[in-house]
Amino acid sequence: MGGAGASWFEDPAALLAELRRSSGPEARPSCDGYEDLVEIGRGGQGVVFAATQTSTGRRVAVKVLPGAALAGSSHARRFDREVRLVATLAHESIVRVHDRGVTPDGAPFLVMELVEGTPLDVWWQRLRQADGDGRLRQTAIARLFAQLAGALAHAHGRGVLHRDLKPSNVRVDEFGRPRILDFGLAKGINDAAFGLSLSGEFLGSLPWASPEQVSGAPTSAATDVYQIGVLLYQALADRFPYDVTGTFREVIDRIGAALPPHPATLDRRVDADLGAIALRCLEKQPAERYPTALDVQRDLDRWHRGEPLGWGADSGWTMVRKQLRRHRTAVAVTAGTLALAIGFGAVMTVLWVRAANAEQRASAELAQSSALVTFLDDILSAADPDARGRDVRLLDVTQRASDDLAAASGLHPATRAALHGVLGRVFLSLDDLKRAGRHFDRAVETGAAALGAAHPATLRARAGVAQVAIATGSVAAGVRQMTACCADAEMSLGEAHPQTADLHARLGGMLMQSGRDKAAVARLRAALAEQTEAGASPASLGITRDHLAMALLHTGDLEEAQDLHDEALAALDAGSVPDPAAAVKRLNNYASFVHSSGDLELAKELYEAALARHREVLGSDHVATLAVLGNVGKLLLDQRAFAAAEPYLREVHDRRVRRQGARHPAAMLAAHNLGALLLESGTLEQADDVLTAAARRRAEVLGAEHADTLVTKTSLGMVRWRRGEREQSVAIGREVLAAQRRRLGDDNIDTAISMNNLAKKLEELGELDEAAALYEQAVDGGTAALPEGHWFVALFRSNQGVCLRRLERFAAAAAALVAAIADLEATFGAEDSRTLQAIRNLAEVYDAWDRPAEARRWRKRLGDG
Amino acid sequence: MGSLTTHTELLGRLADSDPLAWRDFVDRYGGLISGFARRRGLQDADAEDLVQDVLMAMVKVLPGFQYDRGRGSFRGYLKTACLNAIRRRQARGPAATVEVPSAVADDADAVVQEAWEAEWRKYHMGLAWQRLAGELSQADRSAFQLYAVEGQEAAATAQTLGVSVDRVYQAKSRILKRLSTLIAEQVADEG
Repeated sequence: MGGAGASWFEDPAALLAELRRSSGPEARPSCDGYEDLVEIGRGGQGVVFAATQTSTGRRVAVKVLPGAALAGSSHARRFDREVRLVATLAHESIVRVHDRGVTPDGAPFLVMELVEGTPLDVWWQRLRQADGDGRLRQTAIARLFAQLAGALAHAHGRGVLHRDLKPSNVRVDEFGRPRILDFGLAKGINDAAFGLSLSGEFLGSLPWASPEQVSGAPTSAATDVYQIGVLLYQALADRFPYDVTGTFREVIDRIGAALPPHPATLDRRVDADLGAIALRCLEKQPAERYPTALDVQRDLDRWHRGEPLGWGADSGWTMVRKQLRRHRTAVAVTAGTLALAIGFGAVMTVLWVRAANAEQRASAELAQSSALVTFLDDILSAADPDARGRDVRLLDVTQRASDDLAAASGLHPATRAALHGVLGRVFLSLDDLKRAGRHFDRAVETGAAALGAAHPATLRARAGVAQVAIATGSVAAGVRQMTACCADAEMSLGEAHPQTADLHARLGGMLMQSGRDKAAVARLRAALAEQTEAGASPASLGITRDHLAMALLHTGDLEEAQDLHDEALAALDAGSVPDPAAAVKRLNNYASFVHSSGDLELAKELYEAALARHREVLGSDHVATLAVLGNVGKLLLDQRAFAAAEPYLREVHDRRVRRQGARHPAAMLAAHNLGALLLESGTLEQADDVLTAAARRRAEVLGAEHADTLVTKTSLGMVRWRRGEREQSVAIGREVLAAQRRRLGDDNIDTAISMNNLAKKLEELGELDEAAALYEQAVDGGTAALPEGHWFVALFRSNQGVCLRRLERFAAAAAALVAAIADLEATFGAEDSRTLQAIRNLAEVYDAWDRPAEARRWRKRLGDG
Repeated sequence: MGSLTTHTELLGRLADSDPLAWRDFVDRYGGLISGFARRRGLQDADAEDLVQDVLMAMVKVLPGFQYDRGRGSFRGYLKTACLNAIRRRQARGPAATVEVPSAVADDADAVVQEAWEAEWRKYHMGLAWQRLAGELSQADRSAFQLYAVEGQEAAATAQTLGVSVDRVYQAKSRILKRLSTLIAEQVADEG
């Protein structure tokens, strides 16, 4: 060592000074509540000390962040995440987190269980030495790895991935249990893709890294499954699945491409099935691996009990690889013979050429089958009637494909499942729900058996089953199926995966259809963020935005809904939505948004434009065109143009019932709208018939307390009231309100409106006390649910004031009306009929209260004296 | 503990492309590199990334790298690699690769030299202490910490730990001597 510091370490005083100054690893950090810190390890992420907890005397491990860990630094954030994540885990094979804190220097520390144990590689080396013939060794390995997989399944279930499994991170304790350390690289499944950050730790872990880690693709639970595979392979074969020496690039290439030989080919004592479990974990494509760590555990347990493995038929890829292996063996034998004759150089060439041929043949087969799927998918999903209208020949083609598939034999189950999925989607877009359902069911059945229930192809088919359930009106079942589907996707693909995001978005749409708007908003918001991050297509983003906007409209968040629509329209203008059908639908969605938010004139213009475009692009008979027709009718109804609305609503109703059946949700909506029109135009007998039938069907199909059912019942209640059947009407009103209180709670605008409506009826029947109480609840609920000063609440108050006057509670009545007048005036102006009516009501309160001066003063504002 | 892969061994393993050696290399020099980078004004996250830059450069050059003491010290070599990496990072933001110095040049800048020396001493101290830790009893370790490092009275230290005052004195001199020897060894190994 040259220079000024040459002998700093030779002089005790200089040495001590350095020791104090550098305050590096040798200086024990001061961790409040812990003493006797002794360093036991260090890595890129921090220094680990053994320590004693002062209060209990318990021995613990304390992990301290290195250097000056500034608050908010990436290190500190990572550390925080580590703590939060690991603290949620409670499994005997996962090292427990006891505590956390900050040293006086500002370095965060984490207190964990102190694990005394053997590193995993030392453990398997000892086993190898102890057990000559290998059978006991393999039993011990299977048992330990089953526990390890179980622990990871536990972590995955809580959204935690490890992603840095390697022998030094797994200890085997004195009871022979594996203990997983250092969830330091662990990330929430929610987090963005790991990428190839090439951190120091990553370099150190490279031999255990998965193909997706080295290629920078998103990681998921399948990444941990892969790493279990590397460890299991090492334990069985006493070597890595592929050569991990060489340059960085070479190792990365091998991780991405080199097919590991079956461990039994390296050591004949290795059981073929146990080796196959490792190989399945080591599939290059995450989707080809065990779907979850739990599946790994189950197969290891099955092996342990001597049962056949549970993952069924080989995947196509495994078969190809097995074939390849056979070819290679044949080549090797030939090569051996040739070697004697010609010499080494020539042999190498032959070997290479033959292996290349075999590989080419195999990949050609694989390519052929995937080309088939792509072909069908392309041709048949282009049959989306939204795009080109329902083509009879297309239906024939699809039906023939369906028959062919039923008759085809010898298809690989995975291929069969994929084809059923394609046909299911085609029939779904053709609105042939029965056939769609049958194909999706077959796809799920075949896919689950061949690929696992959480395989992407199976997940897609399961989403199809849920969609069919929703479309046929089994809303609750559809939502349930979709929820399960999402949960499995999160586990097997990770939350950041585009397909998971897509499933989340669909679940959100379904929640909205089932009337769970708040849950839908949350779901859709998250899905939109996920889809954006995953780079979803503009078309799917557009659909999610539309759904979100609609759900926001239901929950009353008008501004945000408007923003979303503006965004969607801007995207449309920018031409980023290439599909004309999607563009046309967007127009209708936007018009119905404007409609629901109250601008009827603009909505009418937009609907007319949408109707023209729909007829042009999709044809007059298309379901989407019918939807626009229905909307126009509804708008005319809202404008009280009953005569104009009737032909629209009747046509939509009749066509839908004919085409989709009376129990189809869209047909039921059409019936409701027709009933509402008949009610408004005073055709009460017909209205009663139509609405009674609609309410019954909706109750049967959607459930008695579904929001749509309740809306129809409310209309029916109005019909009965107007027909003079007042007791029945009140009974219906009570029933609807009770259901809404249960479903939506009291602080909901729909509930509040029902309260107001029921109160009005009770008031007319002379039940003043109950009416006043209900009005008060309506005001409270409306105030909680709506923005301050909303005119709905003002109307409730105005009604309340009248009722209170009749009860001679004049002061309260006046207060309610004064508040109502202020808000109505602010909303509609001083001359609006609603404002004037409230003023009239107030004047009457003062009349009855015997305060003529006040009454006069208010009457002046009426203008007519 | 106590036993140590020597620096030369480690370089040899890296040169043989033993990927497991990378982890050892990171464990060993990561703190040194990032500490130096911080002293040279890099943010925490950049300093950590710099470790990667330098290691990637090393990984690229080390296979086939003939370690030749005649060409200069490893210490100087690593410092130049770090400085190059820092310059690149400061000039262009994160860099995917870093040029490895073809010859070892000494940086004349005294500030740089001082920063490097400080980190280097810290690194050796840490390494030596890590090696030594396994040899020590808990009492000796604590006695050294309290008396020698933290400057408590010997008598008070002895009382706290329930050992004789002599043992406290002995712990200090024995441990300082061992540290000195170990660091001397490390420095010699590094060439």
